[in-house]
Amino acid sequence: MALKSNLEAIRDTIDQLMAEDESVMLMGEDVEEGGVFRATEGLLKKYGPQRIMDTPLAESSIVGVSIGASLNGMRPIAEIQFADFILPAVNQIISEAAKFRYRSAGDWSCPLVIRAPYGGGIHGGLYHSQSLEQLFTHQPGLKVVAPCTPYDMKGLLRAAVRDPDPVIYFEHKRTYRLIRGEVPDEPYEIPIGKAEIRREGDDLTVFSYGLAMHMCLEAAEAVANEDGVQCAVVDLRTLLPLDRETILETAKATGKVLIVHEDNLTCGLGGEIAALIAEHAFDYLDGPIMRLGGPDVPAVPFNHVLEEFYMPSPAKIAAAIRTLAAY
Amino acid sequence: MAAEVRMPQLGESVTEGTVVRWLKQPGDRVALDESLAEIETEKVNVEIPSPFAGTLAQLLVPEGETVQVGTVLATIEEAGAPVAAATAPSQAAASAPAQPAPARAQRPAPTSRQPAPAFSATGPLGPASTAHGMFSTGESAPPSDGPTMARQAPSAPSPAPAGDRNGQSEDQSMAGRYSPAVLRLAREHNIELGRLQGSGAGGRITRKDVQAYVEGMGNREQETEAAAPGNLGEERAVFAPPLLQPLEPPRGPETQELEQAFEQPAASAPAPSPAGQPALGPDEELEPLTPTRRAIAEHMSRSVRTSPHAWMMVEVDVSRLVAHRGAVKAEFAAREGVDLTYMPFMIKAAVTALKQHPRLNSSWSDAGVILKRQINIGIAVDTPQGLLVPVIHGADNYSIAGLAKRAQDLAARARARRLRLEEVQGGTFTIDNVGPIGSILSQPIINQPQCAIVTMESIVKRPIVIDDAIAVRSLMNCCISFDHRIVDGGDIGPFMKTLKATLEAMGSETPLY
Repeated sequence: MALKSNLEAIRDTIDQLMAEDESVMLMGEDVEEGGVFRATEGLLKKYGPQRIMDTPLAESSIVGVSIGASLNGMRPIAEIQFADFILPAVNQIISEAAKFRYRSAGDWSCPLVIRAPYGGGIHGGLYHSQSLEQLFTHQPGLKVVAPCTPYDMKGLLRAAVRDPDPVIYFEHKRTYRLIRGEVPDEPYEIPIGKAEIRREGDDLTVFSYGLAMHMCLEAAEAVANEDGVQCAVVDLRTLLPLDRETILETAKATGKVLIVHEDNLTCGLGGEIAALIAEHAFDYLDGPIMRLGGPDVPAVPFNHVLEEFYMPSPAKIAAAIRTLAAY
Repeated sequence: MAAEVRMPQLGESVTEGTVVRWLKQPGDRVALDESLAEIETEKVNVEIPSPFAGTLAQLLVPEGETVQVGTVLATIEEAGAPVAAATAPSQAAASAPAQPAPARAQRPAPTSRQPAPAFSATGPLGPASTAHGMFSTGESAPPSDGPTMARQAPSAPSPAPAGDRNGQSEDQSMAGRYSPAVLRLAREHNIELGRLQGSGAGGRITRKDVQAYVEGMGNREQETEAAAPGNLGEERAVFAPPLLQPLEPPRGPETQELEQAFEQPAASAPAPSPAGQPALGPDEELEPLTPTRRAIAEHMSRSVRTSPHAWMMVEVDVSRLVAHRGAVKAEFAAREGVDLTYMPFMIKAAVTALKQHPRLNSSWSDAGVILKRQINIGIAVDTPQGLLVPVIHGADNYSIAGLAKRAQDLAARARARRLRLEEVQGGTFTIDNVGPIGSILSQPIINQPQCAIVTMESIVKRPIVIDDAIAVRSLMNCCISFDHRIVDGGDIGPFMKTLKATLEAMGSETPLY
């Protein structure tokens, strides 16, 4: 057991997976040097250039080559330097990786992990701050995870690498060094598709993931202390497939639901969760299902003030909680 | 300038009234408080006094027409100064809803309810106020956060002002709006939601309100059962007086369901359909509810739910009273023009007992017991339309003869539906004479918001033991139902003892005047 940051948990898990399984390999831009976030630091020295491969600035080929490797017995981990850059690889991901098992009637599959650091709050500007998870949660054939604690980073990365199908592994880059927690040294997996109840409460239920999940916890503590409102906070962890059972159970328990994500509001994951609850838990609802998402602007702006305007915050979340609690 | 005369609100449950007859015609001069028209409602008939002195200008509602409360009935050209009160065009006023909702109008615009102060630079989420505070440290929320919130969650309801969360909000605009969760819980626990006070925004009843109510319900049910044993249904429905105190307007299907449940023994009651239309068998028919029936049903149900009814009975030897009345009634009728019944004696005895035990002349409130100085005795009167309870105000000021005349007058006018509004309001204690229907024991339902109701049962001759000898005496049972929240058996016992002693002491020496 050791106290680790999210980033350390990722690096150590890759290290552990590569040490125990020679088919695990890593490719991406500058990964040999350790990557821009230092997530692969030291791995070249340990595992050599056959398994730690720098690639050209061509995401389409990073994913395409990974697909080919995965079809030939490897378990590649493809690193997209910033999730913002994943767009050139979307054709490979959606047209190829996601469909391989389906179009080969189960004969072939792509045991492939695509790591993608996403999200704002780091003053990264338009091309280093986006949340793109919703591009992929609409695509059957993919699995999409977005862990936000060191323990989950490890458990879900291992599950993703061991999964026989393509998994997109979103890492919120603001949490890399911000969030620290105990991580067991021994290997373990967290099943894909299982949400985690991070906080119990009977006034309303908050669903979130990523950086916003931590803000939700902070906001929940604040409203508990200041207003006596007790929120259940559910960390979705996996965005595709959603943990419907936990979502519906926890929504039914309070009848009031707030969904918070940093991704912009329209057609964000909040809409899907709201629809699920409205469809399957209607008789339990005691208020409008509320969403708090980023404003519908084309990108997270660079200007500090504007970035704060865009980003979720404990204060914004607490205000939404108070509104819903008072309903 | 013309001033408007509107259909008055005659009791809180009354939403409309019928103009029976205009007593003045356009062009007539009217004095202040002079009667303008006769109005009939489901409860009472009244003459409406003119609120202005002047000349009747227009009659806007023809005789025989039923209109909503608040509708402009007539206009009066005022004598002297112009009237500031005349406001809305009569067209709009005529279609105004019976129950205007000032709460809705008072609700502030959404923008004014944004919790902007919560986003002040330090805010409520400063590092010290949270467990880990990592996002607040060194960050300051920009003042634009308030509007941001609004844009991000356009479907969100307006945040309620802080006061709403804690106590009662004056805004009741959401009081009748029930969420699926609330409706489901109400159905599962068989709760009528009109009984609950909402703690949500705009007075909305929340899931937690219902849950709290359900948790408290177990206790209440036990209490009521313990206090009122026996088979109640039919007797209560017949004997107890209807509500003439404020009650809520009928709520359609819910009320109907309630009434059905009330009229039928629980065991054999068919489950009414959710829509309020009961499924009828081939040998059943549906009798539509009259407004009075509905009001009675609502009041009875509410009274039983509201007050934990406890009950006791005393046996009163009224032999001397029977003899006395028998001796004087013919002469009394000839002289006074009214029959001398037992009712005035009973009222007199009740007044005497209430004066000695003033705690029963009261109402319950959560803040405390409201003790009433004036003794206003309601007397239950069976009428073709249902029960009415006219009130003898200041009953302690009357002699037996005065009470006889007053009671007879009120009963006659109740049957003719000619009671004035004030004559059915303000009762503090009710007497229910069930003797004429042959009852010797009954269990009345309290006339809310009073503390107690007492019955006079049939006077029957029976052998009883007096001083170890058997004697034939005229006996009458008096049954009292009382609100066990206000008084205990220890209060009722002495009250009934006084009532009994007063009645038994009545005889030839009892003055009629």
